[in-house]
Amino acid sequence: MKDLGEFLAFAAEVMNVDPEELSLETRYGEFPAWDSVMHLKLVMALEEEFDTEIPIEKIPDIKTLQDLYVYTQKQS
Amino acid sequence: MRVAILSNVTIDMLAESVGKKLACEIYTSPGFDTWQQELFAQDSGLYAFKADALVIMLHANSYADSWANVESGENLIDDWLRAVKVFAANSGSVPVFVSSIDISDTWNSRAIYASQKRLGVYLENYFLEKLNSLGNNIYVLPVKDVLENIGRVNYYSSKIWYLGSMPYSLKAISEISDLITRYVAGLHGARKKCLAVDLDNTLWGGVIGEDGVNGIKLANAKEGAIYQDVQRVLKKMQNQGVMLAILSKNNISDVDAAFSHESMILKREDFVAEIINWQPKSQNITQLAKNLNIGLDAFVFLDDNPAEREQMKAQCPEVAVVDFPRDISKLPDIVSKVYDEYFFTLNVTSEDAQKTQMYRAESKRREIFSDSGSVNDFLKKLDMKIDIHVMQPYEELRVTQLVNKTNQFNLTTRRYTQDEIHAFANNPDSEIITAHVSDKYGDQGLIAVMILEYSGENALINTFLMSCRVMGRQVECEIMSELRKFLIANKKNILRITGEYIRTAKNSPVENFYDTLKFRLVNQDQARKVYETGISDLPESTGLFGRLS
Repeated sequence: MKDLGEFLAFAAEVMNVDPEELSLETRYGEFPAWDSVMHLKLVMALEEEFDTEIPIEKIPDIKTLQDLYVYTQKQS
Repeated sequence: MRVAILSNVTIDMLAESVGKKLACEIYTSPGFDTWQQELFAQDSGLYAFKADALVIMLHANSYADSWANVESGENLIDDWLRAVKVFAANSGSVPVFVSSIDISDTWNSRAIYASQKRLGVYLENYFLEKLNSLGNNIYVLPVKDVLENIGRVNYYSSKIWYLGSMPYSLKAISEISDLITRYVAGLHGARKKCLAVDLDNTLWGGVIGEDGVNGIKLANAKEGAIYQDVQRVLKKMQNQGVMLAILSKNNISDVDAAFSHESMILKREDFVAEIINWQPKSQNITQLAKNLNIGLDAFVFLDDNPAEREQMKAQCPEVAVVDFPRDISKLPDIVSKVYDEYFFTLNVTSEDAQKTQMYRAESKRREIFSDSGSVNDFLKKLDMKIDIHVMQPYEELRVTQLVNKTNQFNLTTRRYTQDEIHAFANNPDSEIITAHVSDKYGDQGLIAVMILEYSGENALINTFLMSCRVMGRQVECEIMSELRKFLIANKKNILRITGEYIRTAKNSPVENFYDTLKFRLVNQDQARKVYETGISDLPESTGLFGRLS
């Protein structure tokens, strides 16, 4: 289990933004730093950092940070 | 700085990472796998961007079918390199860095394993050889080495490849962008000149003064091999033009004994200078800087003793101090990284490789100087020889290097690319003259450059510079007297010489150069002084130089 603060701090670091700009509702395509390249970078970094795996067919379903956050909750 | 990065795959993340590390503007090609069109079409975004450097990242595995046999593999490589060659021809001197390639076939059936492997290795090497033969401004970027260092499983990310056509993992992106950063920055030459090293527990294990020559750890196996490997790395660095110096608190007789150890890789002659005493090392490094005529900011300091490192940081903040590893087995790697970080340079000239010898000779010259009555006596004892001639094509690289790094004896400090130097040499209205000096202690090589521009009866000295290692030896006066002979013999219509001094933060030593040669000051403001003289008023020979044959 990873706590939310830790997860948001991680996402902020990958996106190179302030953690306070982010919440679980932050949305892919709407939040300026989260473009298609950042989308892949987030997936790669999350898999590495939280030692988890996001199946390739699920990646298009990730629309918000909430959708990513669930993957940190599944393992460990 | 403007850097273009092209690839046959998507490299946005890599480009972003390089842009951050170099703090530079980055161009990537629009669309996917358009890199060859960008190179061929002179109206492409690439040409419009006017890059200072071009990086080409080639991902071989996206052409997997072409690597199935020699012929199709060679054909693909030839096609790729044709595009690179076209760009090089169109863009003049823009340096191009092309990645080495990785041809990996994960299908390892026992029956065809050897032939498959052989084919992959053959094509990878075919690529490197072809690339190497393309020319001076095209460099191999050893990306395959990154793969070998971190391992293929950590290097590629198949998920991101199938999803976004990006083959590399985050780890690989970080390592590759470090590599690109180092190579692009390496265009400007090394950041530092001299590595000052401690001896005890740095070049060998143990303390020579206590353990004796048979007690120190230095061997080709076990712990002693760590130090031998460190010495091997240092030896390679020295061959690449890094100056090594010893800074040690020791008795000289003990150090002499240590260097007689049968497993020593480094010889005393591999060091440009040494200061072995019990004084603070910050004081000794300052002395070393004076002896070698380089700044403190040209030094890197390697010492196992944390107190010495702290003292150095406090007293000489300009000196870069290496973080010594707690685990001594990491030392050889750390020393290699010191090379990458501080001494990496792309163009190693023959002068660089002989630097140690030249600087050692310089300290011997200083010894005679103290025994000589007058400066002229000293200079005569040196038995100097000079050769002055029109620049030859093989000297272009060295001339470009001097033009871009000489600060003190540099009248105008105009910087030129190799291309521009080439153009001066090939234009009938300009000329580049080089001077070479040697003396009884060694050859200093090509040490001075003059660029002349002719117009009517006038020759303008666009550039006149000289390496600081021959300053104070009247070489500049001898060059001016040779210039007179040269112009009288070859340029009969030239009657007048114009010289300029353009002020910089570092060239005050030559502020009055033309005054001492009795040139007439014709114009001056804060930034610039312009002088003139007639050809026949140029000085006579100093009589201090023989001729190099």
